[in-house]
Amino acid sequence: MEDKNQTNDFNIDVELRDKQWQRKRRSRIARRFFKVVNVLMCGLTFLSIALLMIVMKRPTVSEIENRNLAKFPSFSFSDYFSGKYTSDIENYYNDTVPGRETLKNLVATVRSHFGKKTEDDVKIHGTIVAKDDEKEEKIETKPAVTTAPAKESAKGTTTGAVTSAEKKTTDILDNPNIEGEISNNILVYKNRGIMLYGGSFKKGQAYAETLNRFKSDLGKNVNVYSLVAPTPVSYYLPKKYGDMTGSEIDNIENINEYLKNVTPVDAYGALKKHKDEKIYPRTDHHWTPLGAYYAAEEFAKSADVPFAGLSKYKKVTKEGYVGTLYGYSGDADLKNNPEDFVYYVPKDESYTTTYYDNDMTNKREGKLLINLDNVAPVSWYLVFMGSDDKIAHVHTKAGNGRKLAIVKDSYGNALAPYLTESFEDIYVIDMRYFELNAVSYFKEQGITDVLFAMNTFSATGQNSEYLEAIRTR
Amino acid sequence: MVFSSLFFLYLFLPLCMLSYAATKTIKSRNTVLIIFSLIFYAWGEPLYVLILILSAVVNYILALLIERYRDGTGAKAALVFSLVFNIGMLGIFKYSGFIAENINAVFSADIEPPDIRLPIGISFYTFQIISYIVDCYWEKVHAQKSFPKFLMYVSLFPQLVAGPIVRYSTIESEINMRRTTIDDLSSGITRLIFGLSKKVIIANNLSTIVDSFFGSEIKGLSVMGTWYAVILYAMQIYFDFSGYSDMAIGLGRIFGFHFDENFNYPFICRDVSEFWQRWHISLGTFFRDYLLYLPLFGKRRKYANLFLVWFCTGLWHGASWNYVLWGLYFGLFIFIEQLVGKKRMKKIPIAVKHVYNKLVIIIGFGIFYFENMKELGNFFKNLIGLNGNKFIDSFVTISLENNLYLIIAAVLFCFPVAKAVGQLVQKSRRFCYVTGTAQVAVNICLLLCSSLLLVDATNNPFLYFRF
Repeated sequence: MEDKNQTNDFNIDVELRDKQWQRKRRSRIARRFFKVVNVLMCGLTFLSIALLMIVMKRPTVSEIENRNLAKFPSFSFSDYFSGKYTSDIENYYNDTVPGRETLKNLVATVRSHFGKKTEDDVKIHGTIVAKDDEKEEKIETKPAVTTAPAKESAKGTTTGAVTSAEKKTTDILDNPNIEGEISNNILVYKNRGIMLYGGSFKKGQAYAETLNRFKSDLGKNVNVYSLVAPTPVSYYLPKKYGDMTGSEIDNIENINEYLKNVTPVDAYGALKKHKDEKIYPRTDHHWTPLGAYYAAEEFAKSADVPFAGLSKYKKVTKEGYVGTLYGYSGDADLKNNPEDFVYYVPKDESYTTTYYDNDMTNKREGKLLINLDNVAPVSWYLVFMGSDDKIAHVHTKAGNGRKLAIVKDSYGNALAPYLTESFEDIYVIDMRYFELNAVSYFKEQGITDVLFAMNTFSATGQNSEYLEAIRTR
Repeated sequence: MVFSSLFFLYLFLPLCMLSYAATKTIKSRNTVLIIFSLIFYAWGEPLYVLILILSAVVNYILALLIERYRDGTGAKAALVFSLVFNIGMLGIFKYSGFIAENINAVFSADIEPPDIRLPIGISFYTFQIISYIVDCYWEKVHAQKSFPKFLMYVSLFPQLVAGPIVRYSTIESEINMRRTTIDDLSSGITRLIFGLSKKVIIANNLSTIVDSFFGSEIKGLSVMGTWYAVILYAMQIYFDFSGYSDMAIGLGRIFGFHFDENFNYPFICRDVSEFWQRWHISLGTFFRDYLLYLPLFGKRRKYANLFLVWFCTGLWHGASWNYVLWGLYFGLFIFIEQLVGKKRMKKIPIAVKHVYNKLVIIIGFGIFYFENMKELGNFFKNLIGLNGNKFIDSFVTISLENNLYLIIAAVLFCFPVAKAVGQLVQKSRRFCYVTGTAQVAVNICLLLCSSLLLVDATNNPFLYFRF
């Protein structure tokens, strides 16, 4: 009896141990199995991406970023020993990933899931702008910057685009105002990108004083105007976020205070009346052609010249517009909510447009509003003159003896088409690229009116320094 | 070349692994590793690779001399020569500009700071070599007879450019003989992907936020904005550095090497001393083993050595006074903790200790960030609102909400949450299939996600070249 019991116990024990052992073994095999699966799956992923990256066609241009992607470098010993050759190869490989644009849109989507929007639909991107609201006590007469560096950096912006591959992302982040008229501190509110404004009373003052010097150089027979264009931050930033930005109107008024014999044009007030219309795109840092129209109207009033109503223009609408702010913020909401780009072409095309290089060479006929068929949506604002780095001369049938020069950043480009009935000659120059002495140039052309037209970022940023450069060159 | 780039992950690494897998003997495998390591280094330093090789040759010979002339003064002479050589190289290539600047400042001299670029990874491989030489002298390891093997130890690409500082003794036997088991391969790949994700998904994006606050003048930032940014910065550095160490350790395992851990959840520390036992462990132990107990200062050597160690730790991080200040700052708190003594430290309530050490650590990272002393001063003023800045503004609240999930994830992964969960499910065998599948899925997701984010690494909007 006892014996039997013992054997039973023993059997149960052995069975139990057997089962445990088997279970352990099974789980060990399972774990090993998953290790193999892990290695195979991850290895496969690595290898297939590696293969795809070699086999698939590599893009050469980025439309979103508006630049040529890096090219495969050509070999030279000096480049090799400086490390440039190898790093250029690496850069080429990393920069021209097959399907880059699509993947970048995916990145924006992934990033948008790092957090959520605030209750009132706000997101923020970029380096916080430094607000500078100190005022200079005594009036400074020294020009802000010498000619040489200003010219150099102006060149940098044009050539930089071609060799952009060498520049790192941080260049732009380090210098949010590298192009003068923009900041990368972008607040997105209800799918509208709003650049936050730092402002600087001191730089505004320097800007005003430069204009005063232009006026005294040009003499009393030439009218000088200052049109400082506000940006969406003045009209569309929710009140509760007011402390995040400098005040554009305060900076504009500060400039106006320092102007002597220069006529301020109240673009701020003119645009404010129409702020419920589409005077600014949601996705781009410029104003819309309509916004520019209202500013031009205000200028015509100040200059006391005739002005053509919108009925004299043909309205053109292009769909699917996603402007520059997407590239800068990488915000998926901007990408996913394109808008219409609406512009106005004068019905009466009796005027002629001539383009020159920045030193008045290489004369060629052209159109004031270019054909947008082959232009990527991000650059549709290019419809006005096609680019900044040239001089435009518009000759019209106005016949009133008034000759206008517009000294501008890209905001000013949009003004010219609305003034074809107001002035008989219009010269458009960009202070960042112009290579001659502006004062003697204006005198040679017999200019009667000079309009300085740029946005607040330009006027209180580094672009005012270019003005001094072209005055004294 | 950095690990967190598409070029490394999808061109260099596959080529290296395929070549490695194609070879069978240890000798040919070592050759593959040496060739790829030298290519890896020469890719970034086509000229300075020669310095690396020179260092390897010189120290290879010196180690043999130390062993040969063990009993005479020869060993000592070889040791001294080696130390002078190694520290001299580091001095010339890393600190000559800094030294010149300081001499100029103190003696108002006019020495032209030499135009020498810092060779990548020189701080790391020099320390590895020093540890090897000293260990040889102390008879802790045998001198390596084969130059290729020694060159492989010095140039091994997983730890070459950003650590950890792998001791020769750690991988001595694996240099001679090693095999990669399926366990090594699987864990290595997983570790590599985790490290990559820490760097690319968390650190890089935290860095974007930090730069948005600290990127331009910081004077106008609110009090909370400054705190917010410096806390994120502390985490950014942790994920950046530990992520890179993870990748190194993972890559090492793929090739059959077992490096020591370099980070062990430093933010769970209870005091500042413990923080440094968990943060960049290979550097801390290096200074502990080779500098802390050197009889340099006679009787008072305990504390004098301590400050010497922290001076060096700071200086090692960069040729700038803020790093020295940063090192001494930590040295000071560790000194205080030693004065208080272990027993009395234990009596302090744990909550108080956590508040104390987190404050010290976080402010320490502020010192680490600002190389410019004026900005550093503004940073301190900002922290307590002395710049007349606001307490809080919309930048902080919006940024926090916009990045909420990222920040929560970052905080969680600073602490061993994932590890604890992993261990919990691993204990119960029933979940084996679930966890096994989940592990593979997570790995693939993280890899794809990181790679995707890397596509954006060359993002450089040039919207205004025409406008």
